Amino acid sequence: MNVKNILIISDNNTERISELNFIAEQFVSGKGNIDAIIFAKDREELNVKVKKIYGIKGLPVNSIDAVANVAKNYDLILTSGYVGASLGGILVYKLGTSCVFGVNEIDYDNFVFKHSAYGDKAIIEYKPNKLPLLILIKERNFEQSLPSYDNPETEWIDVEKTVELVEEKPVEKEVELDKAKIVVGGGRGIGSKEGFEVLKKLASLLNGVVGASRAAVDNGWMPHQYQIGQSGTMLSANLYFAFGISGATQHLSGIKNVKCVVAINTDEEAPIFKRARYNIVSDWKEFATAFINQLEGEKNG
Amino acid sequence: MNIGVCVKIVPDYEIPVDKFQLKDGRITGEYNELVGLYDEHAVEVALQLRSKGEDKVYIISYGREDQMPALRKALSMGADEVILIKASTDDPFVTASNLANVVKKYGIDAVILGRVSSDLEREMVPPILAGILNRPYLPYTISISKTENGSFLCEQQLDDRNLVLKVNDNFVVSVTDAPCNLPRIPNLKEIMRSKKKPVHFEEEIPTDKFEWAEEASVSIPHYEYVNEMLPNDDLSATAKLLLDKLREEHYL
Repeated sequence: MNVKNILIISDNNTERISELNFIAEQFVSGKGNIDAIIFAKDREELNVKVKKIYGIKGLPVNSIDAVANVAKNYDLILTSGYVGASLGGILVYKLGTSCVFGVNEIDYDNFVFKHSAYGDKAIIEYKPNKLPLLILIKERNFEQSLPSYDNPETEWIDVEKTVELVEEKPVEKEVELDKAKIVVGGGRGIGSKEGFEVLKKLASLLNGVVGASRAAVDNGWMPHQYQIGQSGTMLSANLYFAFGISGATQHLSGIKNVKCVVAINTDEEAPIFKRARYNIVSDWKEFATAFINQLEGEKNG
Repeated sequence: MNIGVCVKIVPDYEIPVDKFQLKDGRITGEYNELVGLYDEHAVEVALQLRSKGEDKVYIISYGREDQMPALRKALSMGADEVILIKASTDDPFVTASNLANVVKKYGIDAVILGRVSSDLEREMVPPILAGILNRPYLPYTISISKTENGSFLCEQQLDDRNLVLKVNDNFVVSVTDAPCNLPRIPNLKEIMRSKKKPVHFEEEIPTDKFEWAEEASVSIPHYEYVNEMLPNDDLSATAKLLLDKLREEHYL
């Protein structure tokens, strides 16, 4: 397929834009055009240097027609995250484009887009037969390349206000789980908010951060931004400790790229033991305490 | 108000890797079927939105008749009626068209789905359904409430913030998991009651083929993991052993 004009649709997040831009560059290899629609909170300076930027100050849900009006002129539309989830499927329907969603790997030469299904137990390869094409990527699966066009042109687009933003609740603390090299995770087995205090202590001794399974977050023991897995964060850690985590499918998806997993669980049959490098059948707290004592003992010499 | 929760009955998503098999690109063999993971959270959001005695919660499924036992789970959580559309495919455009048809036929005002199905995980049906119905679409929703003047407040959970949006008209949302929508566990009384709740069967409607992409292949990836069981008779010694190993391999 001869892709000439590519449109990136994203919020004003450098990493997200750079990941989409990396993919775009693989397709055009210097011979095509990369433009972007960027959603921004204000008419701030946009963090993106592509040839043409369409800035939108507004909610994706209010911007369907405006975005469709721009997107109809492109061969390939690349999007991800909240903006992609809000707009992707509706654009496909409105513009009649072909599409692949949840893409986590691309064979650029053969124009094949891969998607994991059944909790990473199967890989589906899609081959779109026509352009225009919309690709919704699964974040943090591709390299990043910061766009660096010299003189970007910016045009601001006005959108409707059918749906109104009445409140924005910032999260208590930004956690960079996706970038952490060492993560100490806790699951249903931790049993309480207090249990996570023990894991936080261990994480701090290891210069790592704490994470949690869906079960732990849904029980209110840890906030959502600590959640690892399909509806949380994908880890890229070298080392991950899974305390009291059985290894549900959607959790294993989130630790797919971890290099070394250490699992501590009382249930010898827990699926996490098949994924982990080192396994310890033990009460999570007893082992965490022994581990903390060992680290503190070394520190105090 | 009529609230519709679109539910997909899926193969047990916790089926272990060694029992997972494919035939013609889809799961095969012995497995249980159940309500999708995020669909259960969607049912919970619907039940919290419902004013008892005023609103009705329909469970809408594009599936097979023999999936009724699994759909009863949604009824036993407290939903009122099931609408089952007899499915012939898992194409997302055909699915969304059929769901849209039922939404219009039954006068469904609020349409609620799970963020992603627990089998094919394509996340396509909710936004396409919103596109067909020409309604506002709000993904990542964790709760919905009514306001006094008849509009709705939908809270969305993003990576770095939550947004509360006010919607005045009929809408489509997809739900992600959060403590506020943890699915309720049905009690015995509700399980018994669910057996008497109405079930409507709908025939599939003919739809045009939407050429979105060809499924070229489906395969099972093979990941090789080396596992080592560490001793657990003396945890202090195990802690030291583990630290030594992790340092030797430069993870620490």
